[in-house]
Formats: sequence, structure tokens, C-alpha cells
Amino acid sequence: VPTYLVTLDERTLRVQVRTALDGTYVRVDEGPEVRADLRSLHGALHSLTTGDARIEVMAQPREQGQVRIALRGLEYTAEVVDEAHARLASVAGARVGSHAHLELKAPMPGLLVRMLCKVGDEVQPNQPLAVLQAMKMENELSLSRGGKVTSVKVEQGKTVEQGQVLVVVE
Amino acid sequence: VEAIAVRLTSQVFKRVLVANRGEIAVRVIRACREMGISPVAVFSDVDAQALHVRMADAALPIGAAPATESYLRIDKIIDAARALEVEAIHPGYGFLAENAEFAEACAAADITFIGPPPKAMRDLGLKTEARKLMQAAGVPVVPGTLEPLTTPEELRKAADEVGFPVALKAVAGGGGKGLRMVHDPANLEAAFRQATSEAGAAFGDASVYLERAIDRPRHVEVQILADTHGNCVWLGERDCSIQRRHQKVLEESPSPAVSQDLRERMGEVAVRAAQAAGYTNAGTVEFLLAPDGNFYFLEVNARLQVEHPVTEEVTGLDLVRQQIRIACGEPLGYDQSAIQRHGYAVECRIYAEDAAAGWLPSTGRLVGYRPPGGPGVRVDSGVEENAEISVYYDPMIAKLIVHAADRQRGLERMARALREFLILGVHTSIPLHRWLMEQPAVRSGDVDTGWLEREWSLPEPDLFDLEQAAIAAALLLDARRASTSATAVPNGVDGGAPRSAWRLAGRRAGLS
Repeated sequence: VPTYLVTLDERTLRVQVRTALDGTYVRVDEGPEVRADLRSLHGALHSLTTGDARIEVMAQPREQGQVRIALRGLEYTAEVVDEAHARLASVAGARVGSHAHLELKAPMPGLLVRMLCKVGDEVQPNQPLAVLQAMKMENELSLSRGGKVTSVKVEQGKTVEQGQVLVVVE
Repeated sequence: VEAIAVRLTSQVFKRVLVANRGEIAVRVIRACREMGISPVAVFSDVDAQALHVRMADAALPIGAAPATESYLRIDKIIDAARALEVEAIHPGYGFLAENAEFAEACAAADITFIGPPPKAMRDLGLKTEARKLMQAAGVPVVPGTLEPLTTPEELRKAADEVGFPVALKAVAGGGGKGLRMVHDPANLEAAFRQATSEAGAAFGDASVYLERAIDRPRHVEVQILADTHGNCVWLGERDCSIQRRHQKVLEESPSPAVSQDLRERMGEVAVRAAQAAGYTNAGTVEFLLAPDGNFYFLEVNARLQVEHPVTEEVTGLDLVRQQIRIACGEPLGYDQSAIQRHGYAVECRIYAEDAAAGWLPSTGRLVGYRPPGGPGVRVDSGVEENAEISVYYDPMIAKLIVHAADRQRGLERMARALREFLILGVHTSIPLHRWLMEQPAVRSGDVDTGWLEREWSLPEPDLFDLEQAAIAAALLLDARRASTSATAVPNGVDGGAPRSAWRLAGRRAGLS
């Protein structure tokens, strides 16, 4: 049964997808198996039925197993890996999913005017880690979860691209 | 005399230029269309295909994407107005809307500026001048200095007289720039230096003045309309106490903190303030409402405001239409007793921003956009699916406004509409608004201007929502993989479970 590790909002859920003659069934973590159906309506809009529950979802696949999802006014970027691949990667020493691994990325291009943390710092949720000047404003960048800084990828005074990783916290 | 001249020479305009972009340009274009006026537009390079341009009868390019090279260029806009042969310009809000020089440039080009007279804009633009004007007119102002502060000795003396905590504010502007709260006298001079340098950078005028800091105030503002014949009415208040970094997040009317008696007193004071400044057209008089029920003049916003639809919903008046009528020289044609308010309205500003990343603007393409609808729901927006939210302009995607019989039903309706609103491609402030709708303090209306920043924390996601999102992502990628592996290995001999043909067909039908 194809099994996927789906990481979104810093959590990882295990989703089994079983295809039978009468349709597709899914099971999330240790929950019950329920019938599921995802229909494309138009553009990114989909209708998702799981068991008795129906919900409208906007979804768009992106590169490398990423899926952008919006539902009920919330937006997530889900990272999806095949569990079999993840296990192999784990044996090879790579990380599984991105469970406890947080990256502070530049949300837009700009100038990194200040780096406020260094490797080894214990940082709190929402603590400013760097200051990015963009759109004529100085923006403090932070992560919603805390941890230990394991890597600082950019020096103060450098310009950065949108999406560039600045700091890694574990 | 001027008023009579305008009345004699002008009928309703035939053609109006909207010197703005985004939702407010669309809003003004719609009002023009309803009045039989031909709306025309200007646009920057990145806005050539924008909704406001497509809705206009004609449009001219005015320069590169940065606003300083396009929407803030008085010369280019006046040139476009001449080329498009318009009789009037509506400035919207932001950009040049409160720029007296622009209003004067319009007058010099014999084009009507749909807004207040330049002199009123100038007088109200300088906070210390506005405070003097208001004090002379008997409008309550926050105790403090009436002149800019220049030396540390003046500063110290003024602070001791007013009493701590004090607020240092920029003379030349608002929006929280150059604003410093000082609780401890020891920090006074450092705060003065910071406020001065910030004000200088933001407004090109470093002067600051000092006011007593009002503890836990509400922000309550009164919408007024004044014609060029001396008539002025107030339309009721908007409560904008839910703010973040001095930016309004949610606006509602009526205010849960304002009694009918207080409403009438504030309304009368707002009219007095407008008349003292020689104000005409639509305007907003902002007040701080202290917990003890006293209210103090804050500033006049000499323009149409972002949150004007809240007042439109409760009064039934089209404020843009009223602005255009007033600019044509028409008398209001109604007095205070004709202004009635019905029910409750609330607006949530839907911004492209990422709460988890410290509220930074979130840029990108709106891959999916499905606004809510139904009874009592209004969406004012300048975008559609596939529009680009760029770094160049304000990251507001839409204003979601609902109207209902009373506050409780209004908030329920807003919660419902927020749940229907689907946007894919950028992060938005919808989660913040959904969180707001659940807060007991919001439900009871017990908030002040600092409440949101004190109370906000990233909400824990709903587990059901997360599961649904995870299932959708897994199904989408599973289907993709099934179709690619079928193409790569035609016989289905890939070492794993064979993929049945019906499944692929089903996937294609359902998903591709």
C-alpha cells in the first residue's frame, strides 16, 4: 500500500492510500481507513470527500513533492515523501521529512541588514533572528517555533533571493 | 462665491480619471459607471492587464512599477488627465490622495480634484496646526504641546507638565511613524532622538511634539460629508480598535463601546472639526476614546478611507457617489435628520502576509481565488485568479465586508464568509481573522488599540483541517505518480504493485 509522509505546518502525518475496485481508501496515522475521493473542478479548485465529510480544497502540485493546499481560509505548503524513499534516505543519514528541522527563508528579495543569531544559540518562538530590508522597510524575521541554531547560511550585508535559506534551527 | 461659480458652470462630470490602482480604483470606476460617467484609468508597467485597467473606458501608462515612478508622479498623471480629456480626478486613498500639491496641480490644469480643498489638506496635515485649529474650535484634544519641540529642555518641561506616560508624535504625519510611547522619564531623550530620526526619514520633516499617552484607548472615527454650500453631516462611527503596529485590521460600525448619546456628541464634534478646517467632501475625524468615556481628537483623514464600506453598509449611502456629487458643486440635499443607520457592518482586511513569518508581505501569483458570497457579503477587490501580488504595492488582496441585523449575527456571518474564502498562492491574513472571530474579547467587544498585539499568538491548527490537507496532498501526488509510472513502464512491471488500468482512467477523469 503506497504510504506517504506529509509534512505541513511543522507536523508530519502518515497517509496510506489503498486503491480497491470500488474506489480509493485512505488512512491517516493510526486512524480508521475511510473512502476518499479528490475531484478536480476547475483550476486549483478540488472537492475532497473523506468518509462522510466533504470539503472544498485548493491544491496545486509544485516541484519536488510539494503541494500547496488551501482550505477553509487556511493555506499550507505540504511536503510529501514516499515512506519507502524516506526510509532509504534515513538509512543513508539524511533527514526524514522536516519534522524538527526549521528553515528561516527570505520571504522576499532584499538586503540582510542584521543577523541576530549565531550557531549554537537557543532561540524562542517568534524571536527575531535576522533583519531583512525590503520594500523600503526593515522586517524582523522569526520562526513560529524555537530550537537550537545549527546553521547560519548568509552573512550580514548580503543581498538575498526570495526563498533563500538564512538560518536553520533544530 | 466659489461655490456658486462651481454650481453654475458644472453639470455632473462626463469623464473622470481614477488616479489609483487595485480595489479602490475598481470601487471608484463602479461608482462612475453607475452615475453615467465614463471612468478612465492610469497604470504602471506591471498593471497593464490589471482589473482596474480592464474595467476602465480608456487607460494610459504612466511609468515603471515603483510608485515613485508612476502612481506618485503628479506630472505624468496630469499629462494623462489632459490627454484623456477628463473633467475631474479621483485620487482614491494612499498615493497622492492627501497631497495638497497634487490637488493644486489639478486646479492649475483646470481639472476638479475630488477631495477637500488644498488649504484644508495642508492645515490638517501638520498635527500641531491641526491641534491648534481644533482647540480653538472647542474640539477636545489630548493634553500636550501645540508647538513642535526643539530642545531637550523644552521636551523635559513639556513632559513634566503633561505627566508620564507620554507619546511623542511626528508633526508631519501619522500611521505610527515617528511615534514613541515613553513610560519612564529616563528614556525620554532617547525616545525623542528615535522619534525625530524616524519622522525625518518618513516625512522629510523631523519635528515632533508631545501628548499625554492615553492608557488602553479605543480608536473610534466619525465619517463626515461636507458640501461646498456649508452643509455638513456626520454618518456615524467606525470602531477600528483592532490594530497591529498602528495599522487597522478590522473595522466595525456601530462601535460596541459607543452609546447613542456619545455617538451624537462625537458626531457633532466631528462636524465642528470639519467646519473649523474649512473642509469639504468626504472625510474622517479620528478620535481616541478613553476607558473613562472621554474622547480626544486624533487627526482628520482628508480622503476616502479604506474602511468606508462599513459606513456605506449601515447608512445605505454610496460615499464615492457623494464625493463626486460634492465635487460637482451639488448641495448635499439632505440634513442630519435624514441620516439613518441600520444594523451592523464589519470589514476584515485580507492582506497577503504571513503570520508565521512575523507578518511579512507574501508575494506571488494567486493560483486560486474564490471569494465568498451570499446574503450580506461584499468583497471589494482589485484582483482575480492569476493576478500577481507584487512587492511594489500595498499587499491588500481584498476587503471582506458583511452587513447583518446586529453585531452577533454580523460576526457569525463574517466567520462564515471567511471560511468560504479560498486563496491559493500566497499566505493571507484570513487565519488571523478566523482567530479573531473566536476570541471572547472580540465577541464581547472588549478591546483597545493594543489588544491584538498583547493577545495574538499563532493559533494551533485544527487537526481535522490538517488531516484533510494531508489527504488531499497525498492523493494528488499519488495520482500523479500513478500516471507517470504508467507512462515510464508500459507493462506495469515496475517491481511494485501493478497499477490497474481502471485506476489510471479514474485518476485522469477525476484529477487531470
